[in-house]
Amino acid sequence: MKLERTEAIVLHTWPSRERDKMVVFLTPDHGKVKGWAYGARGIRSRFGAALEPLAKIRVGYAERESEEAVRIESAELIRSLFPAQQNLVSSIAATYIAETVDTFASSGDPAELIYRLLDRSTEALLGDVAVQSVVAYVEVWMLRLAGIFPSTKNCMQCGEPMGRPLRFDVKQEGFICESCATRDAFVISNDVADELVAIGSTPVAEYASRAISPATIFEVRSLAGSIRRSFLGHELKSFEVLASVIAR
Amino acid sequence: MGEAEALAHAILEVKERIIRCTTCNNMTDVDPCAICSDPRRDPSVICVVEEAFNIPTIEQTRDFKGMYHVLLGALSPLKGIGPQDIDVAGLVKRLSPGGVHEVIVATNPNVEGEATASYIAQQIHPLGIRITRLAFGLPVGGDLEYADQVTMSKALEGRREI
Repeated sequence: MKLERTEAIVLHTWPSRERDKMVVFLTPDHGKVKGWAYGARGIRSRFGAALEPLAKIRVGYAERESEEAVRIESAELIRSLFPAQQNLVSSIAATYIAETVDTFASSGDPAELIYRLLDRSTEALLGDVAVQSVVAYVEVWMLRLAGIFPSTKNCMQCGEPMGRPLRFDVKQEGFICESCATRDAFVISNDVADELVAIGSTPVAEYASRAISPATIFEVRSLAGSIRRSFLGHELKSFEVLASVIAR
Repeated sequence: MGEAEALAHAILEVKERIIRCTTCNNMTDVDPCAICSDPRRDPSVICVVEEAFNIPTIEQTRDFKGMYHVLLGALSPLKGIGPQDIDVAGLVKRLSPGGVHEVIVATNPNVEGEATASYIAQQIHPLGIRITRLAFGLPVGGDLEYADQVTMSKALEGRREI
């Protein structure tokens, strides 16, 4: 039995058996890890609030050979997102961010950059920031880190540097220059192109405290959503729920 | 009849006879359920729970004499359960004629329960009805030294004068 002790962020939990929880957490060195937390559903559980989604914890776990799930021995809370999760939109947005990361992060491989993205984004949600900007930031960056977000610098067809306005080719799922553009390419507004640059070069807390028009954020999210859906072949489960609470 | 057949028969009978109370969504074999039709209960206070099986836990205390409303779930984005999938509309409909002075939200003290409580509060506040949430805090018989920061901070927030 191999014992590990590391920092982690809880992505997802679900009840299992009478009093247990199955927990998926992201670690910087081992990517996604799935583990049993025995007795975690009890009111007097030793895990307390440490295993709530997006809690940052110091976790101790034992890996057992031939078993997919580890056994969680201890979990100390470093930072809880619970204060932000008492707000409806922040709470649903946090779940959506967790599902986004859960979908693209892999198990077993180091995931330092994804971990840092998740850590900084959840930290930002605790501050006085625009929740939708944090969501857009994670959507775009997660696609970039997964190697799915196409280059905005060079035309995917001819490789030449692109000027403004950017054009996105739906069929080829990439940005394309004016001379290569077909009828399937649509023009990306310069505001959206500016936001893509800002997301790539600004820390999340700073990005989400800037004043950005809701229409521009909506367009950035639509573009990221279109790339993500095209790659996955389906939409994330929490997407519609987030859209419905934002619309209210 | 063998034991297995008797068990199967009993399960079928339960499936056929148990229905949801049309007032509060509790599981019952008569409509309205025993709680909704009890004249000794206080109709001016409604306790909102996620599932019907949460009701016996509160009833065990014998401290609550009001009515219940079962949401039939909690907001759970990862299961695709949004505001339209839980019965908050039924609750608001029960409150509209007036006569209810307090709604106690007894959803689970976790992220999904909190999001649900926040949504219920959003929907009920315009009606001007007092809305309360079950207290968070330290479990009876526990040691303070083992409390985590969220539980401790919630316990401090919900402290009361003695």
